[in-house]
Amino acid sequence: MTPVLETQNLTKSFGGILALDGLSLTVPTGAIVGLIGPNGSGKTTFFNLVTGVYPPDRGQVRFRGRIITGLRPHRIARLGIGRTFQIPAPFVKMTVLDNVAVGAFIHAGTLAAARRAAAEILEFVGLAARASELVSQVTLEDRKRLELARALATRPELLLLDEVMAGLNPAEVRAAVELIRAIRARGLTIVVVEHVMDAILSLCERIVVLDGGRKIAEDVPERIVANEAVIRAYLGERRSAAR
Amino acid sequence: MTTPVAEVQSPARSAVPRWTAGALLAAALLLLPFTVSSFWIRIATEVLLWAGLAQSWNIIGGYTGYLSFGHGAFFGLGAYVTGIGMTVLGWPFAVGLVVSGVLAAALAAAIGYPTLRLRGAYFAIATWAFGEMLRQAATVLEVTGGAFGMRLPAFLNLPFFYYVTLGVSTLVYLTTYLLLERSPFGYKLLAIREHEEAAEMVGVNTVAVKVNAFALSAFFPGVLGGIYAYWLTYIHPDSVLGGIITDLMVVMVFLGGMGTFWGPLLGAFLVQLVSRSLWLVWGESTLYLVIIGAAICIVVLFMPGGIVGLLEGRRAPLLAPRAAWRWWRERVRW
Repeated sequence: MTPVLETQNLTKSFGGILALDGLSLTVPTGAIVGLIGPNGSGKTTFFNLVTGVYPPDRGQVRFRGRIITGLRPHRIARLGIGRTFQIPAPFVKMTVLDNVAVGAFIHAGTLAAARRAAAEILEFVGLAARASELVSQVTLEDRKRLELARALATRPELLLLDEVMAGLNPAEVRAAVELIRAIRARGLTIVVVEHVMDAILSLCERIVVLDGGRKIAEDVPERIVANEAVIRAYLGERRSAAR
Repeated sequence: MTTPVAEVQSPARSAVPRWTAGALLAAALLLLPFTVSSFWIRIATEVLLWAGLAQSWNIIGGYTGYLSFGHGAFFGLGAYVTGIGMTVLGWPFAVGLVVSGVLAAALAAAIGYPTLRLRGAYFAIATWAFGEMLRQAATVLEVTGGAFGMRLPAFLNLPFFYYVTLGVSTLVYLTTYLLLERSPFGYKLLAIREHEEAAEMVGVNTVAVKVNAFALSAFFPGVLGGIYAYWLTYIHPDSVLGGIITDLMVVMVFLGGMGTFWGPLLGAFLVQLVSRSLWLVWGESTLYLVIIGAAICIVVLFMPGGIVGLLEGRRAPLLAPRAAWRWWRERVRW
């Protein structure tokens, strides 16, 4: 079976700094794959390359077997890749419902149809009560949920989640983990970039560890936490420096 | 457009008075030439013309958030195309108007396609340069009559121009309502204004949508320019391509409320009212420009949402002085 996402030798540098160095990665259909690594290790760059924000210097992205390298982001979104932003990027002067409706325009021809689809998704992510509020009135947790809802409105097959749990308290993190599981149960494939280790270990079947733009490990969660290189590059550094 | 959900939920309560008010307004507008002097017909035509121009600018500047500082060029282009078409090529007036609008939209698409890809000041500078370029061209070309301008066949019929302007400006508002307030296109524009990268990421073809919006916002000024030329029968580079035309469109929208449906109409009405009153007092002087300029500074500094932004969410009756004062203090940014 063709994997949903496959990248080969993906390379990108910004002004002499190598952000991503020959990353080859396969995301099998229906999986939740975690992508971890210290700040600046290339996680968000990877998302940006897959979604077409900028083209790679070298390498290739395949989505369901089709080469999508070089396509513009809206084309890639229409093909079925959804994505959330690390810093929530809502349409501030619009209502929560209309934010999601904009994502539904891919499938819905009219405003009314898009709003109906959006209302269903808000129900699913637990934001139905906020539908008519302006985004400026909702909390950070709700903005993160809104990011998810808007991405879901495009009816993606592959969802790229960029730190949807950063800044949330433990109860909110648990709720977010449940929500991501529910999304996967709908048949989506998910790639999660996350710093909240408990969440990512319990959520993912496979974890890919990046450091300095290179893949240093790829394994099941139990073996990742025991991996020497990973502890040195990521967990170790965080334990000694940040905490 | 800011509270569509609430609107959708309570249509029954406000529908009847709204339709009544609309019908009364339509009747008043249609009967106006029969009831007032030619002086007031002229003033009313001007207000309608500017209301249409301001709303056109609002499509790209207010809803989409891309400031076009050369929008007067499309007005002037329409004026000259209609003028040349009628005098040199012998077109009927209506053909001149259609060609003017289409040409303005096509030119906007041609300028917009390269410049609307870039965020920031590029678009504003490019549109400004385009406006200057057209003015220079009209000044040196022979077919436009150079700096002396050109004369169109005289048709002195004020009610005719009133009704034509009323028709086109109504079309501007109808188009804005149906295409921007009540269809996905308008919401895509808002999404682009609010966060362009996110809009692209959820499948909005941002470049195409922006180019369409800019072409649409240029079409009507082209048509209105044609009407203006035939109405005044004499045009020259400063009268139809002067910077003041763009300035006034921008000012009216800022005053009325950027990206709001009724803002441009309110702004056009007020600016025309004020400038005409000042003109009546002081005659041909540029002093009224100074006063309008000062008024704009006040609007931008203290009420960035314009008049419509100020009125939105109003609870206290404005006629009760204390409540009105409190309301004003809460709303106005000091």
